[in-house]
Amino acid sequence: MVKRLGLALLLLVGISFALSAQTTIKYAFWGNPDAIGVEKDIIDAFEESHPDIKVTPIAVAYGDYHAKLQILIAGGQAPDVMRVDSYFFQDFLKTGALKDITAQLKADKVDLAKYYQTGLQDSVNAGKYYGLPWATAPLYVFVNTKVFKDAGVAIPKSNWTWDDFVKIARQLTKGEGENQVSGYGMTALEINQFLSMVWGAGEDLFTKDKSKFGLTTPGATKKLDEIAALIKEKTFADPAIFTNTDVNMRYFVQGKIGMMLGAASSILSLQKSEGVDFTLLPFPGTAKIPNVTISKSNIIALYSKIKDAKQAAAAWEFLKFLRAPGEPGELLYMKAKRMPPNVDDLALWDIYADSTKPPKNVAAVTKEINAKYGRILPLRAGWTEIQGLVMPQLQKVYAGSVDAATAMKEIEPQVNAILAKK
Amino acid sequence: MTLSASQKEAIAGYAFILPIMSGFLLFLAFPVVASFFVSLADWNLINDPEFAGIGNYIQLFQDPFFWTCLKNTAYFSLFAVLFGMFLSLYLANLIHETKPKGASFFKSSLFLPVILSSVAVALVWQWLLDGQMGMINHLLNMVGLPSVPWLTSPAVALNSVILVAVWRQIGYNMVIFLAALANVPDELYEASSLDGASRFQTFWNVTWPLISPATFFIAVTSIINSFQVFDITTILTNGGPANSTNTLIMMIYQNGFQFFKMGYASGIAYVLFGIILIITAIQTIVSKRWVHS
Amino acid sequence: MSTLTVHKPLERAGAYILLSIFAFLMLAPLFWALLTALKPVGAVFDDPFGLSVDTWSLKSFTDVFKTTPFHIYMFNTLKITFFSVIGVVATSALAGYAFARLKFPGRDFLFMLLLATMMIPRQVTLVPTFILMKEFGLIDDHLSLILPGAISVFGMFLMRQFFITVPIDYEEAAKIDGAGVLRRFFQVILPFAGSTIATLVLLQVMAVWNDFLYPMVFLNSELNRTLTLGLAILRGDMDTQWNMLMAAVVISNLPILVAFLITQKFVIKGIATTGLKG
Repeated sequence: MVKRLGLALLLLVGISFALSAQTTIKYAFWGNPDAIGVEKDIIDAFEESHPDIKVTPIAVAYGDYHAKLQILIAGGQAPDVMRVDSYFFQDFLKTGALKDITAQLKADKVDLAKYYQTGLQDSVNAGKYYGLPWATAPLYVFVNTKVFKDAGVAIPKSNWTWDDFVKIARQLTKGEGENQVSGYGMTALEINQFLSMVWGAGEDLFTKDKSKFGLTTPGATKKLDEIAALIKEKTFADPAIFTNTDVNMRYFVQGKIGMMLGAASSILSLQKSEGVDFTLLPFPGTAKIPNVTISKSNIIALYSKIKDAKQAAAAWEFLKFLRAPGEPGELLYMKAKRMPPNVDDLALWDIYADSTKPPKNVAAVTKEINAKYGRILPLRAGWTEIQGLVMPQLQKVYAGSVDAATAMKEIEPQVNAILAKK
Repeated sequence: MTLSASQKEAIAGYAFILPIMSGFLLFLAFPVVASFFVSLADWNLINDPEFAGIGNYIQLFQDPFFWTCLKNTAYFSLFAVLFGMFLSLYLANLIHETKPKGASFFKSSLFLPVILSSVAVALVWQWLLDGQMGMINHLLNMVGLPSVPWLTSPAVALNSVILVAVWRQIGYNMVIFLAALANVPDELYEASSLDGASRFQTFWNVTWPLISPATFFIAVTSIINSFQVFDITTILTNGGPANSTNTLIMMIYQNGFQFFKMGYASGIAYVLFGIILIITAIQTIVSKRWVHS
Repeated sequence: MSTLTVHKPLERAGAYILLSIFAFLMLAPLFWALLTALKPVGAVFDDPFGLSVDTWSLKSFTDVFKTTPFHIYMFNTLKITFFSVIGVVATSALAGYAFARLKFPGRDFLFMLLLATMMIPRQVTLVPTFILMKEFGLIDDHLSLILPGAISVFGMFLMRQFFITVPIDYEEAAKIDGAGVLRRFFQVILPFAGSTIATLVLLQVMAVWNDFLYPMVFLNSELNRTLTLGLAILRGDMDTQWNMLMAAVVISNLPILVAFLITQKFVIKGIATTGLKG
């Protein structure tokens, strides 16, 4: 009896010891219910291989995510591991909430060369790494092959230029009212929808040192006016219709626009709707400036002020599991089709996208973009605020109610004020 | 020591208001004072705030975006309140005058949108007003009318938002008007009709003055509420297109939680509070001249 | 019959038609949401306006529960609403009575002070309240919503306006019988307040049930989420599945809808009194 009691006691002590040895970390990310399911599966896989670490998910809808993240950090509830959209990366960096992991990457020999280099750049600041890329995705030009065929237009090659693009878009444009087909369709909601065009004109959102607003230059405003003119002649569909990317995609599927801008996730959405034949291209630049395709990556970062050393180590283990090349995370994300490959490996694309369906060239064109056509956004703190200033003005330009020079001049002082903040 | 009756009553009074006053101090008074201090600082919520004096307020009045939002808020409030009050009074009067069979069915169905969550209301209307897939444009096309860019044209979007807001609040106001109408003594109508007054004259001379307290109540609460409409605009248009539906309350949220400018956001909140206060004060003063007591 | 009531058949017919149109305008969007929810997934985009009954299914509704723990969200919302409402009725009735009937120094000043705060936008108090909750250790705890939810200046105002209308004689009689304040409040005055309390309950249920901003800020874990947060998650930002979303809209509003249909007469009567002068 005593023996049994002793055994039970020993067992109890053992259990409580095991429990206390377990480290709990919090992991924040955004997503809809499907995406949350994917993350949970990955967490399960991690907990299986790391029984001493428990991961608590904090999932929020994308629209509220960064506000929530800010509040969590402010409230002393910061997640140990957190996904950050690169739009907000600099803002969070400025608060000191993101951990410099350069030394850890080196110590654990994480092979950064394996990543698409454009994607990796979005997590770097002043030569230091503050996270690992999550969902490196170029913005491809999606080409609806049926619309091209109907108009008798050949599919262009990757080295096409802006002039080719405009010419083709005009050839695709026809019809009126309900039957209107436009060559190209883009939203007027985000900077990434038009910046490629400005890049092609040799201009940029900011000056080179990112200290001043760049869209007031004659070159930039001329390009913006040109876009407005293309909208007016219906070569570009009226961007106001596209209140979100869903609508943009719907028009593409219905053949109401011949080309659109889209990320890798749009490939999966399109593959779900039967019978849409499409292919991908880099964004057209010029012979002199071919690299105008936006490549953007989100970041998974660690919280900089984790007090407990064991917890900090666990967070780092989890980050590596999720994102380091050769670790299981990349493949798990790929299998769940949650994120396009970040590691430069063609085989991963076959897992991510359905290779029996169009587009057949996704891996090849992605490689090309990373080698030749890609460019990262001039991201910096205050990006969303600047976007909030620029896009409504641009919507007015697109609607033809004001010319680009006037519209951009109007917001120049405010943009410069944001840029002047340290 | 024995307490006098009035002392006992005072103690009871304090005891009775203790729960609400402690809640008031914690969840209203403290936050209101605290956010005033925040409005005097630059603060990204995470790092220590930096004192900025009245810098946020100066910046605010120079910010064209603030004026755009103020204009939209004023336009929205004015038309949502006027249109909402007119329709609800008209419907209440219609029910009151005709006393239709099934009056309670009409009352209940008109009241139904009031009880739905504003998030749900906004989602349903977003679906109805969709330019291409929306039922409303489909119906318009069926009768040969062109599609309307409900949420995609800067000239139309704010009106669409007003439409949805009115749809949601009509029932509430109508029920209050109905109660006020029921309290108007029938004899007054009889006297008026003996005088040979037209229906409109009767309404204007008899009904309108007598229901003025209800009208005043609805006007005040509607304006306070309309200045604070957030869910509907956020979901329907998120401030677009071209900022045509961005309001002050959304500007507060955007600056505080998206642009990392909590001090600035608090400044806007205080200005909004001031505006509501002034409008209510004006309403109260003006009401002394027309509200029947 | 009063002279006011319209008797002309043509006018009455016109009124019926007008009222029916408005009733239709109010109800149709809700039916459309229900119809969308009943459609199979593909049909929402392929045939958005079709009405074919034979394809209806409840799949969207079951999908809502499969993809999210919606029943837990429902329970959380019910729980927060329930306790907030109890709190609000208690604090409002007590304070309303004190402000209406009891004399104590500073009464009118405190009353005006409370009324003035009715005009404060909730966004103003959000961040300081958050910091407060953090100090209390109540982040990600439903109490962080229940406690502020138990205070309503408007509710207090409503109760006060009602208590003022109760004839003072009843209370005087009880006073002569030697009843103390508590007994007078609970046994003499409160029993009259049924329909006003019902109104307060409904208004508070609506406010708490529909709240999005505060739960979004105060709650973190999935299992603590409320219905409105669940809706936001389902909405996503791409590939919106309208039929599932509409099903979620229907589900999340159903309890409050049923409660309203059962109590509609009572509630409408109660609401009506909010605008009457006390």
